[in-house]
Amino acid sequence: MFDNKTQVLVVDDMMTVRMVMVQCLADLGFTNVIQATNGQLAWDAITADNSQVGFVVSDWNMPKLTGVELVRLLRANKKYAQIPFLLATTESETTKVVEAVKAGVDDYVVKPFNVSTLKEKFENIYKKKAPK
Amino acid sequence: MSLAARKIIPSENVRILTVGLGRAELLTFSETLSHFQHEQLPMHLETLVKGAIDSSRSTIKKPEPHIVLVGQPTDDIDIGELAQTLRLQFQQSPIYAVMWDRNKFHRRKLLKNGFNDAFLLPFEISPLKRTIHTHLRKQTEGAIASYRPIRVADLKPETALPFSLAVFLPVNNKYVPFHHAGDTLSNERFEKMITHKMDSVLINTDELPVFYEYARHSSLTERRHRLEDDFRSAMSDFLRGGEIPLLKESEQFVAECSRAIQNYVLEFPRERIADQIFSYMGDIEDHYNHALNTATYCATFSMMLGIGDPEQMGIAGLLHDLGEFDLPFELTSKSTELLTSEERKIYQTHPVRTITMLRELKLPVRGEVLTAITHHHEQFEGGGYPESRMSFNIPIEAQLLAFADRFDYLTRRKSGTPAVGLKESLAYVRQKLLFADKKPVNPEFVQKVLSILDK
Repeated sequence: MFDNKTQVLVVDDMMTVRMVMVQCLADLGFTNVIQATNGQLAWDAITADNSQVGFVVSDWNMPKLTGVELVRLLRANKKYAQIPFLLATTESETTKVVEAVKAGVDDYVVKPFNVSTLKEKFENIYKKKAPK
Repeated sequence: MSLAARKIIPSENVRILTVGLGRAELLTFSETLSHFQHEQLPMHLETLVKGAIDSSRSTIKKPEPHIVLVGQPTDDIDIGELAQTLRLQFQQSPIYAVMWDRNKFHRRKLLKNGFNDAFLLPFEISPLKRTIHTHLRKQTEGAIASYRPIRVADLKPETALPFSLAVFLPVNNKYVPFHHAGDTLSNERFEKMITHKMDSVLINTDELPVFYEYARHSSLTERRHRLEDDFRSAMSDFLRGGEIPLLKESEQFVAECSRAIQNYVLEFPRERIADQIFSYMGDIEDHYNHALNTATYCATFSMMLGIGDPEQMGIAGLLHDLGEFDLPFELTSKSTELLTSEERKIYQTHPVRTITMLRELKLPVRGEVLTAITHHHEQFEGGGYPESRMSFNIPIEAQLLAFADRFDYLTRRKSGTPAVGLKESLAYVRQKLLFADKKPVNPEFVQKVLSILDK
């Protein structure tokens, strides 16, 4: 099971997709959810002094900084390298999946998503990240 | 899923949902929609988000519509966001965009964000109708068929036809079987088709490969289908929400048009050139058909008359009305005879709009193509537009395109009207083009072409 006290950062340039994601996360028990409209703003939120972000769910294609560029920045920085990162995107080609995994995402969900697929993805990531 | 387990849906239970389709679009598809249950949603993002949230949170899947048709979004809605929201709500249904504003129409973006296909009106009405039927045929296990016309000229009497045929009865608004696969098409039946002025019959799209194989040495139908498919695919890559394509993309578009004209119009035995023209006559009135027909007539007339470069004239035919994309759909969905004088004035800007569009998209088309398009509505004995030029002041390529354009206008068939035989059709062309008070096109061209077609 995952810890739903964690603060989740939802990153998507589309307001409607963020709204749906926030509702799905609420169904999974996540009440501490913040939002960003692109990768750059997400980076600013994560690196802020008082940041509590403990999980990132991000779109890929966004202005300023993409989801994959964001995860690369996080993985390159010791302080943020361990933050769980789920990419939710319309990109479904194998080459794209490989690119995202290489960049450091923990899992990948192809839109359209629903509560049960998100639950599965969260559980997988927590299982992977759990101390052995 | 096994065939036995698959549920066959009767057509009256098929649900089509339209989202934000305007009055003109609904009118265009009223005949198709009338066969099924039709539900409507407004183009209202908040309502759609609610639907998306309900659908994504629900563990029990609600039955989705069999098809979702989505109209032109309002200015405050981003098409990518619209597509993703709808896809979150309808995770299984095919969702098709039906739009008329080319500056917002970006097929790749729409497809990437969750639409199954996107159609730009007024040109793509027929491909959309065909797509709807093809999808429903699969869902209903053939109870709803998807047909495509094939030319009667491609059938050989006294041979067994390895495919079934159907005809459409416009009065009853339904398809009926006409020929069963494996049966011989008797001479008598074939003659009957000719006397009944049937220039085309319908084939189930599933059986098209069998038909292509059957008629592979002479198929006019296959050439026509391939011309249409290639042109649509070239256009698909090209219409990208007003983005200016890269030079190499523009070059590729023109090269694809040239190749389509070369392969499917010009590479045809010269002695059968009249058959090729006959096979295009009597097509149902439709913007797409008009572009393909005019391209074919313009290229073949160019060969017959020895005027202009047939390939370039074919390209002029394909592109000559693209400016209609930039006119309101309420106007282009009307028959030109029904336009008010105000609307007519707007409509008459389309040749100039076409040129503006071709320049804006930086299409490397030749000068003679641009000239032909600019002046294709000038009339030989005056009264045309945009410059009201007369006789030999009209560039010769434009005279040729005007003839091809008019020839299609006079020989095409209005939806729901009976077919007209070739002879009558040619007599009508002669009457309208040679015996008019003010001859609209160069009579010398008309006489020469008709003398070849009359043989």
